[in-house]
Amino acid sequence: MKNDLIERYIYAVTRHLPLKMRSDVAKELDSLIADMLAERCGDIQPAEKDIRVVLTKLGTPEELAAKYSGDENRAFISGTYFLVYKRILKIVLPIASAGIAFASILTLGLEWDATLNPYALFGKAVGQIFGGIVGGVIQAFAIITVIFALLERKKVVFNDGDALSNLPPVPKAKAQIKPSEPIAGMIWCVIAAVFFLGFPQLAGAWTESTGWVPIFVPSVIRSFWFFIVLWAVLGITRESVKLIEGQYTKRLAVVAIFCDVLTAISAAVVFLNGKIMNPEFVSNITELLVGEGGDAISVLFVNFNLFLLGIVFFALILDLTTTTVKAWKYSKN
Amino acid sequence: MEKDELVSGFLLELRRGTVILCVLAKLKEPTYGYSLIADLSETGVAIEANTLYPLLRRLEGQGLLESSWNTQGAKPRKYYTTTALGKEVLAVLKKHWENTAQSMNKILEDSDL
Repeated sequence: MKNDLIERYIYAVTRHLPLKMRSDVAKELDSLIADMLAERCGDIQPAEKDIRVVLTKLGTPEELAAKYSGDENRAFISGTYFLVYKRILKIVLPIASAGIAFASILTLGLEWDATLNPYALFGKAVGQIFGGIVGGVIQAFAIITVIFALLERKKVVFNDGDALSNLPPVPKAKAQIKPSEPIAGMIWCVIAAVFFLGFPQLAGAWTESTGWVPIFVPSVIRSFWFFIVLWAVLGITRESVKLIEGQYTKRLAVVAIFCDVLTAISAAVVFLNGKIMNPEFVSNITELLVGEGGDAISVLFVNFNLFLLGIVFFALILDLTTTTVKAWKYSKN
Repeated sequence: MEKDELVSGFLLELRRGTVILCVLAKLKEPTYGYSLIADLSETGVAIEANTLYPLLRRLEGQGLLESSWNTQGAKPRKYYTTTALGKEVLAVLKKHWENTAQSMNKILEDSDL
């Protein structure tokens, strides 16, 4: 009783199974289908319709194959592995995006092509950064997924030993840090680094007589690239620790103090150097503003580097005090 | 409609636990899959072929059943029998089943619906 439909059905089931059980399952299914047809039709030759009814009763080839292979309810990553997997993804993906954005900026700075016009440069920068982020996030996602799939397969136990004593303390509601805050911080670090390494000439003033006059001398600013990179690295480190800790802790406070102090020192090195200011800007702005009686404003713009340093210090001191005070307050029991 | 779905879900779970007991008990004599289905359905236990056949294979893999092809009839058929290990497991499961059945009956009688 060779029938094309039956053969195709059996093949569709067995192709999902391990090689060594295929022929046996095929033989078994063949005899099962024959039995079912015999019960349905008795001695009469079964029609195509009867075969269809019997095969439909057995379910789709994939369902049957899943039952045979024991993979019916199996998942790539399941149960506790999935819980941890989700948590890790939520932490790693934003950090990976920020890190890659940062690396793309560095590459951009190193391959700086001054012959391109600013719009082309801007387009190139945006393309490189976003392209990098998309590619990097996909890579990080793939790596984490593969690792967890392996853990699932090998049934690795995470909390070996005394799991109960290792349970973390319940964080106080006010001590918790929402993930959006450190992620915004990282993005901010990246933007600042992009600006100073790539487009410092974008800050400036426009007058009718001179046209666009940048505040800074881009080549001098860029000669401080090491410090600018350092700011970004320190900032991203601090925000990553915030993200991972998820609450104000003493450990976070120590990291924040370390990062903020180093950032302040390196910022001072850059901004206290008068050579970063464009002399053309300084003289022009003085003439322009003094003429209109804007002495105070002209002082501000002439010393724009010191003004910026002041803002940086203010932000750092604010971060440092809130982090330390909150850490001290909430770590007390 | 929703109630029917719930009930059929629970029935499926109930059957899943008992079907292995049925199989191990019935296969003390060599039997092939389709006749086992007919046997069981006569005694009021309905099981689909697409569940039973993979289950027989799995139990064989666990060493509870053994099989051999009988090619003497009109068509070749695979006959399964409970192994010595299968019989030991069945004896233990049977005790547990009797206890469970007893407790269940008592609980259900007390609830007196």
